[in-house]
Parts: sequence; C-alpha cells; structure tokens
Amino acid sequence: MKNLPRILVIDDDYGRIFGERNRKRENFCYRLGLNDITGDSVPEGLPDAEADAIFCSGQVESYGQVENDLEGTLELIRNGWLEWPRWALLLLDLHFKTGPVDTKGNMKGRDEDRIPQNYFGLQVIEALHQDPHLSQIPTVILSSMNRKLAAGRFSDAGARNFREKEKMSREDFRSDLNDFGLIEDDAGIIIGHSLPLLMCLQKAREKASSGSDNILVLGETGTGKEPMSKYIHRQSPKRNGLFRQCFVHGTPETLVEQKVFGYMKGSFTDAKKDKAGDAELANHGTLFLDEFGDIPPSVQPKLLRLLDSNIRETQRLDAAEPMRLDIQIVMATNRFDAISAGGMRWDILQRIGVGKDAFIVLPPLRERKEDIPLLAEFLLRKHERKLKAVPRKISDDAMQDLLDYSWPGNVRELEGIIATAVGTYKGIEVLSKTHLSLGIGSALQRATTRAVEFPSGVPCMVAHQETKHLPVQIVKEHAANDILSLIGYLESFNFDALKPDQIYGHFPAIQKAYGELVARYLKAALVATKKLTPSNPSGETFYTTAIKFMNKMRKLSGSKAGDLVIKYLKISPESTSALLSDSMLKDVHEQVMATRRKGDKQKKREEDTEAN
Amino acid sequence: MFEIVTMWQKKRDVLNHDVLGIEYLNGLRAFIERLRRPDPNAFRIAEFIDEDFPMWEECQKEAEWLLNNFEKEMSPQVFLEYQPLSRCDDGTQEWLGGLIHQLWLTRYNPDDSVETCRKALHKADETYREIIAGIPESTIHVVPSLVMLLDLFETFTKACANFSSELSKLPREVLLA
Repeated sequence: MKNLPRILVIDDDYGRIFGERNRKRENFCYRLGLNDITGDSVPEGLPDAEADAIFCSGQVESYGQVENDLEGTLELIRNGWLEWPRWALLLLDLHFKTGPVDTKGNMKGRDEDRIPQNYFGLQVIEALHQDPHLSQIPTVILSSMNRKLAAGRFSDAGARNFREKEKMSREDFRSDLNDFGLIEDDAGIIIGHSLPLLMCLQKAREKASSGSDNILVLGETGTGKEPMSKYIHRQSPKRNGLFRQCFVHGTPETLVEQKVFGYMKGSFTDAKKDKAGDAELANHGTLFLDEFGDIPPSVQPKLLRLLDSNIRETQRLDAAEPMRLDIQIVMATNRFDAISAGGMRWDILQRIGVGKDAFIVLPPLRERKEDIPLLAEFLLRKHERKLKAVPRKISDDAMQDLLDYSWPGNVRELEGIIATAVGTYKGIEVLSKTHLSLGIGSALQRATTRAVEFPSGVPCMVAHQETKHLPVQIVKEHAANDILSLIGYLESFNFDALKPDQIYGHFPAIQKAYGELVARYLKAALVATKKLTPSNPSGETFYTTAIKFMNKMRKLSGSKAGDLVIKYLKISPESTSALLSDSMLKDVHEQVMATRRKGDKQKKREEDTEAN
Repeated sequence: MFEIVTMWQKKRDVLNHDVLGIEYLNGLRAFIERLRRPDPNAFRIAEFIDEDFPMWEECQKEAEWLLNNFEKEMSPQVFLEYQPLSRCDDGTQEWLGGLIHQLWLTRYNPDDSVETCRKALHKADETYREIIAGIPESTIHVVPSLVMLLDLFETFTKACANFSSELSKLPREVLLA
C-alpha cells in the first residue's frame, strides 16, 4: 500500500472537536481528499486520499475560554518535523478566534483577533521562519480573510502560497503538495525520505513544471543523476513523450555532434543514409545529456540554439534547414568546473541559468544517512532476487558500520557493497559487519575518477587545523588498513600545514594519486577564480588568485604563487607531463615559467649593472 | 487616527468568514463532491440536505440586513458616537454628522456596490428556491433525484461564492473619505 504524505492543518475551526464530530473538518477533508488521522473523531474514510492529515486548533481551552497557544503549536510542529514521517506540508489559517465558547461550541472571537497585525497565523509562520530547524517547512496559508491585509508579512516569512479556504479544491491541494510539498518519489525509484533528498525532489518537480526548461543536475559520482533525470521527466508535462539519453562521455569529439544533432546522407564518407540525432529523437519528450561537462568546445556553439528555449533548434550535419523542437533538456554532470565557466561557454551557462537556485544539486549519501537503512533494505531485496539468494536481515552492528561510513562513492558504492555481500554469501540469513567490504570499492572508484568532483562545501582545502603535519607512521597505518581513509585524510588536510616530503618516495602510487588530486584542485581553483566579463566570456585565469583561494591566504606574492604552482604540478614527477597535457594547467605552467624567465633576466641585468 | 469596529463589520465577518466561507460553501462543495461519486454516502448527503442546506435562509436574512444597513452603519458619521467627537454638543453633531455623511455619499457612492451585492444575493436566492422546489419532501432514497439537480447545485454554489466575494468588496473599515 502506498505511503501517503502526512500534512498538518492548523486552523481554529477545523482543529477543534465539539461533541463527537467536526462537520466542517469532515467536509474540508472530503473536498481536498484528506484522510483525517488526528484521532479525535471517527473519520469518514476516503479510498483515494491524497494525504494523511492531522488537525490542530493551535489553541487551548480552559473554563470555557479559548486562547492561542504559540509554544504548544510550535512544539507540535517540531515533533512532527524532526523525524520521519515528517510534515510534507503545513496548511495554516491566519485568523484564529479567541474568547468565550457558546453552548453550541461556537465562538464569536474578540475584536483584536480580527486585526491583521494580530493574526495568530502570522505569529506562527514568523516563529517558524526564525527557527533554523523549522524554517524549511513548506507552508501554505489557508484563510478566508482578505489576503491583501497580511500578504507582505506572510510572504516575508516564507509562505509558499495563499489559498482561500472555501475555494480550495482537491486539484489546488494536489498542486500545492506537488509544487511545494516534501514528498517521496511515489514510483519508488529514488529511495529515501531524508530532508536533503525530499528538498531535492521538490526542486526537481518545480523545475520540471514547465516541461520546456533546461535543467542541470549536479551531483557527485554515484548520487543518482540518471534516476533523478528520469524523475524530472516523469514529473514534467513531457512525461508521455520519450526520455532519450545521450551519453557524451567517452564519445570521440568528432562524433559528439553527429550523436546529438544527427547527419544527412553523404555528409561524410560513412554517412550512407540520413540519421536523426538524439535531440531530434527526443522531440515532445526529454533529452538527457549525460556528462554534460564533457561536451567539447567545438560542439558548444551549435548547442546554443538547442538550449535557447525560445528557439530550440537542431540541425543535422549538412541539412539545409534547421528543425524546431518541443523538448525539455536535462543535463547532468559531476564536474563543478563545468558550471563555473571553465568547461562551458558563458552564453551556454546563461541559457541554463546562473545562481545556486538554477541547479538541482543531489545530496551525497553522507548528507542523507537517514536514508541508509531504507536503501540498504531495498538493495538487499533487489540483489537477493537477482542472485537467487536467501532473504536476510542486516545485523545492528553491520547497520551501524553502514551508518558510520563516509560513502565517497555514494549510493552506487552502497549498492556495490550490498551486491558483493549477497553474491559472496548467498546462503546466510543475517548480514553482519564481517560480510561488508567497506572502503575497497570506493578506493578503486576514487582512483579511476578522472574529473574534479563537485565539492559539497568550501572547495579545495578544508582546514584540518589541529593536525600540523602528516607523519609517515599515520600514512603507513592507513595504507596497511584502509587506502580510502588515507585519501580522505589527504583530501581534508590543511594545505598549508602539509609536509608532503614526508610521504615522498615511500608510497609511489599514493604519491601519484595525491599529485593528481592536487592538480585537480589547482584546476578547480583556477576555474573558480576566473574573471569573467562580457567582453571575455570564457574568462581569464590568475594563478596567484587561485593559489590564494586554495590556501585561504589573503596575501601572496606572484613569485611565491608561481613556486607553489610548480610544486603542486611536480608532487609526482612521473605524472607531471600527463598533467601538462591539460590545456589549462599547461597555460598556467607556461605563464609561471615565462614570469620566472623574465625575473631571471632582470636579476641578471641588475647583477651585471652591479658588477660594472 | 483611531479605528473602530462597528456591529456591521462584525456581522459581515461572521457571515462571510464563519458562516458562508467555513461552513456553508465548504459543506456545499463537499456535498457536490459526494454526490458526484459513483457510490455516494447517502447518510451524509441526506444529513446535508436536512440540516445544512436550509441554513441559506438564515444567511439570506443576515445578508439583507447587512445590505440594508450598510449606509447607516458604515458611514463615517458613526465617528460621532465615539470619543472624542461624541463630546460635541447636539447641534454640532447634527450639522457635522449630516455634512460628513453627504461628503461620504458623494465621494464613495456606496449605492453602486450595495446594488451589485444585492443582485448577487438575489441570484443566489433565486437558485436556492429553484432547488428547494425540486427536492422531494422525503430525503430517504433521495440521492438519484439530487443527482438530477447537480447542475443547479453547482450554479447555486457559484452564486453563493459570487455573493460572498461581492460582500467582501464592501469596505472593511469605516472610511473618512
């Protein structure tokens, strides 16, 4: 049976029960498709409800007098928010009547209740807005009062919408729940109900609502960019069209254009017949450009017309006329340099949209650990079925290990570990910690990840201030046990304090991996600190700024920055030439060397002058 | 500047917010939803027709009172009943009250808004009477005959909502100008 989202309705009329029933509430539930689970009366019961609802008056009654209860209301909201099943949506009335209750349970209210400045609903939403733990609760104002009287205040406090109580229909409710609610993937493909995931799903639905936008999905390796892209397709008006996946990664540069845009017969030697590109094939549906950051610069100009939602044109290679398309484009990448202009033209980024709200950023698994038990169960069942293994449960110790682990390879790594455990131990009924090979898969995964990953926090060198150096002993201990945690250690190490000489020569493979990692950071920093101007849309790199950024320095001379660039590129001497095949790193290296040569000449001239 | 809350304002709020909004239209819309179902809940439907639907008669009376008394109750001359203007002597109150009222009538012209509301009320009431005439006397096994009246119930709902909307357009406060 489908789990219904659970909502909270705070309303003085619907929240109170006088006698055995509240017919106003019953009618409201019937109209909106709400299954009343408050527990204070016998609900009518709806076979096709949209959501479970708990009703609360937000008030306390004592000796026939009703008063608003802000603290109690906030407590109720808090209790249902911090743990699953958390409120998917809050419907909040504005005007709450206080004072004496008559014999029929009705209230006239006090004069001061009807003054907009005193609306209790505003006090509640403002208190939620000020509480960092509660401010993300999606709240819709539900009132029969004139919205204009308080519109500024409830909008400032983050209300997502205003609905007139007597006019709100089931369709309106469904639309609010879909647009603003924190709800699980009802298809059960994206597993989880942690807050970061639900917020991500809500944003995806919001982005998909027009069905004709360009949507960029960013996420670390293994976070599920492809399922998210399919989710966007399913949630969009294009859901009945085709979902066409176009893999750019690994496709030779010359073939990318043919793949995306197609070609006409005879446009090159092997073009024996006309062929539609993926964009054309996705018409009236969704085009998913996977590894979007890998689209070569030569194809980017042509992509502009496709990404322009007012034009949406595609043109096969050698075709006389372009073709207009009606598609939604979803792009995914794990490269944060792709969005900071280093890998993409400025005008392409403009078409995708800029600013943090323009992208859908998938949370890494370490930020949604609440989902691990659910994911682990789901993956266990999946692989038990696939491998015809006996059903099993996960021991408490094993689950604790799963929860404690940092998951650099995210959900894909979890699936790998579960699949391995099920495949290796087909007959066991309890999966214990000894059956889990945490860390090995992710170490391999890291070693083969070729691009800069999207940083979850401050990029580059996150300070590990307490550690001033990296003793060889630690390296040895970690290397013996857990390569992954060693890499994690290196990644989180304070750059300034690092004394890489201590590991040089001891572990050549690690040194090489570390050198590559630092070079990636350098490149990411160069991209992140690029100066972009309309006259120079691809931007100009400044290595001194980049080095200061990497090291969180305020002052640094150009010559010292140059020294550090050379040092970083030579951490692993055997990798240096490979690293310099990257055009950006090569340019920077040349800039530094040119500056050095100039400096040497100047120095020599000064020495000659002095000698003379 | 001070704000006063007149009886008219309170009665309008009760009718529009509590009775029409939360109770009557809410019930009417739920009733229509129930009636549309392939397996309507006959008990709830009969309950609405017997107990809730006739509430319109009370609403209509209250609405008539509001429209008939709008000019008297919401004219700024009511300020003369409150401090500090209530301290004026009778003669001053008489000429000042008359002047304020005439200025308000000229500037605000409440007749048009009240007339619009009256027409909306009349339309709703007319539809209500039509429905009442079509409902069988006994509400036992009445669902099929009510289904036949679905269009009229929908027209009545729209007319009620329209009246409520027009009523809410009348000023919330006593206007000086």
